[in-house]
Amino acid sequence: MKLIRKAIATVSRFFMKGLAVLATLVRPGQPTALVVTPLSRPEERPRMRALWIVLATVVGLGMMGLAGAFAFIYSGIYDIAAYRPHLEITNKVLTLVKRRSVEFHARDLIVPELDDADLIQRGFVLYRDHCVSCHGAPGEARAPMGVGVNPNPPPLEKAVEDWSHAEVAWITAYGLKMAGMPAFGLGKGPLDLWAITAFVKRLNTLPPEEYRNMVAATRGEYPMAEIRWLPENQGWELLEQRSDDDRGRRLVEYYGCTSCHRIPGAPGLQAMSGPPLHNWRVRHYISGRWVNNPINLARWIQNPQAMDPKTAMPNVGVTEEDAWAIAGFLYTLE
Amino acid sequence: MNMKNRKTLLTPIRVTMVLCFSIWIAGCTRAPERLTEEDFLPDVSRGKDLVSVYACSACHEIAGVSGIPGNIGPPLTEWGQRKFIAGRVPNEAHILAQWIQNPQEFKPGTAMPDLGVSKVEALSMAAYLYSQ
Repeated sequence: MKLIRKAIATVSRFFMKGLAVLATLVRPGQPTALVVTPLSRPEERPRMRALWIVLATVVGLGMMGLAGAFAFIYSGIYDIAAYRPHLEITNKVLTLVKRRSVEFHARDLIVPELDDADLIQRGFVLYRDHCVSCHGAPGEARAPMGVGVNPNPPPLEKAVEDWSHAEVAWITAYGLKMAGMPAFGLGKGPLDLWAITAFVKRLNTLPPEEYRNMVAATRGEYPMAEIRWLPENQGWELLEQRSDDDRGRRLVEYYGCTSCHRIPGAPGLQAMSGPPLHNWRVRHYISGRWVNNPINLARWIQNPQAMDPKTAMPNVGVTEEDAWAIAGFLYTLE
Repeated sequence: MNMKNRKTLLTPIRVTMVLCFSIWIAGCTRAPERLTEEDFLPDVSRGKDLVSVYACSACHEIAGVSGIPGNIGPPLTEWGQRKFIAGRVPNEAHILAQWIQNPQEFKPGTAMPDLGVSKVEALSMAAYLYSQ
């Protein structure tokens, strides 16, 4: 008891000292006097006036701001046309709001097992019926209603990189205000939502041709009803064993890759006949058709004509070993 | 607070009211507008808008377009320097416009979809890409 009283006394003493210091700051030359009494003294009146002026300015500016905002809205000058893109700042704010809000609200969602084949198949059917119209699919365009939506519905091959599975499910279930994303949870159960998530999660390993086959299969035009996903390990372990960044860099120079491609960190011409290869590891497709993984990339480097007979990229006679070394180097590019 | 003070406070409000009124009047007195064919001629700045509206930048990295650069397809920065479209046809404006309109015809099975772009729109987008 005694201790507590002592503590309170000490704290209040400090508090009073702090007040005294503040008072000196506000009214220099009058050290320890308290704030309340002297304000009403006649010689303090100019200070009161100053306070009033500050207050009036703040209130006045606030009212002018409000009036200005109202005038802006009511005049109709704001261009609400989806045809013209958002301002950079609007985009940034919307993106940040979306990112933080989804992360916050989906933080406790428990993700079930998503690798079940039946679940993925069910997800595919739902995706085809509900998602393609705005997001498209590998090689398939969004429907006319999905073109010109602003902000643009992103391609979902990328969703796996940007959002966790729980976040994908949350967005699917509850939708996104200000983005035109509908809440698909309406009229659906959790199983459907996790099915869509399970399919979206695998979308970036689905070649465009295979997606087309799946759609044809559900219409009965194509015998395959099973999804042929790319192998679980798409060569990343092999790449780990076979790659040698330094050798890869030297081989890129030796085979003259930079005569046609811009490759950061590699010596040579850095021409632009072919696509620039910066950030290669996040690129989704090779030659716009093959899923970008080490197996496909090593094959492509060795013999591009075998994968795309009409491509302008020549077969420069890269050995298998060299192709893996080059692939290893390309996946390190920033 | 005396009358003079109140007057200084009222002035900004009056100014705002006059401003609102003039904006309103300006809105009323504009001549009627019709969409004409000329509004739909190929145009670089419209091309820039279209590249964003058709979500090209969702898949491609394109200079001057806001948002996170897409990584589904190849970057289209400094497009004018590129020699080939889709790795097979020469990079010329009219061919690029055809590719934008109908990629599946050029390269069956490509991940790039036909988005239903009109010819003029495709030419505008091509013009923007070359201007980068």
